[in-house]
Amino acid sequence: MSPETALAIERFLNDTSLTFIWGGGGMTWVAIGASRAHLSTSMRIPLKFASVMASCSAILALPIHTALIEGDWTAIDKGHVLAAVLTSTNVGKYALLHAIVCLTMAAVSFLGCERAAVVLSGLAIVSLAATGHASQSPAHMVVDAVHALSACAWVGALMPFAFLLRMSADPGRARDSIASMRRFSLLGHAAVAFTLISGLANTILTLGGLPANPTSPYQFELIVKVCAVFSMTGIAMVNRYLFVPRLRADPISSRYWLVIGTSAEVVLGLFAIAMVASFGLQDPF
Amino acid sequence: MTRTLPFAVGVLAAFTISNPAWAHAHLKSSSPSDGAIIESSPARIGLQFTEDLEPSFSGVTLLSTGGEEVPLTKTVQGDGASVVRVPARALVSGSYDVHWHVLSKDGHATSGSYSFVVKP
Repeated sequence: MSPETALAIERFLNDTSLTFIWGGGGMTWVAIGASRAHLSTSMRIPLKFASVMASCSAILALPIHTALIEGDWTAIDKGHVLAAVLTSTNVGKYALLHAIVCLTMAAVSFLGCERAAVVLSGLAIVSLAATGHASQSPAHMVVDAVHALSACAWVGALMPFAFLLRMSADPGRARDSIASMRRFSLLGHAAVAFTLISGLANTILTLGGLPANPTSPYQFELIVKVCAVFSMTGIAMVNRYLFVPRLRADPISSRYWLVIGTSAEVVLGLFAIAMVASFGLQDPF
Repeated sequence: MTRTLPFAVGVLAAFTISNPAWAHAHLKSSSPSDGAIIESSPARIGLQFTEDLEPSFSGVTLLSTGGEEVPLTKTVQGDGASVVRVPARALVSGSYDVHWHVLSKDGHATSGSYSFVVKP
């Protein structure tokens, strides 16, 4: 496996874990009444697992970056090369900072401070904007951070939303879970809007325009990702404006289609994260 | 709404006219330049890139026609986006290949090469 492929996989695992903690853990805060306690219990183990995966992948980032810079896996056996990447390059310094934030996040998660873990996952997501294509200007970094935070909030919240859907089938939990889903819907509109606007701004800042050259691997994968995000937006709108209003009149069928739609959004969201993990390493032109 | 719309248009316009980020360091110019035929040995080999570089992981190798490496003993500090090296000895006539490898500040490694000729 080439160092570039390894770095793309590392980025995917790290981004997915942080997405789940930021969006999924954050959604637990938003839930109302008894549904919050149920959601918190359902999410506890998956969130701990995600924090471990985020930490492990963040620790691996430095040796993989070193192999990529040197163009050879044997570079990671050389302590002085690893030390040089760590101390004398931006990418090394931010890899260390990112790993420290992820490890702290995992520690507080295991200590039972889930809210602190969510805040630290947000910080870890923001720290990713300090390297890569957006790091050329402070304005671009801000746009990139807003894009990452809003997109991660959207995709990460889908799993707890699916839990809430299941809870809404239980008459004893229906009221709180439906009220929680309404809150999710309100915040979801904002997250989708921020994701689309900041995504457009990010693209223009990186390319100077819209992606128009599908022969460039970066631009091709960006176009594919945009198609996935537009598909997610379409599914979210159908869910919100077609199936949610029918929940009262036809709960079984509506819930079934909402679960199908939410699952499709999760798959497309993971696909979009994989695209970002890949094209973020490539030359935009 | 009357205030929001002009603001949104202004923000979009600002993004639209903004310069793109290069994100990977590309060779912008060099001295001697690619394909140059020069009268005498150059005093230095200078390469200017589109982005700021990490000096520890950016370098230049100079090869003569026969593939022999020409030592570049002295590093002259340029600005953050350039690499400047001075040949240890005067270059004799012949063709030379300059191989460069750089790491940009945003963490992307790139490499390339070009040639120039020192006239007999």
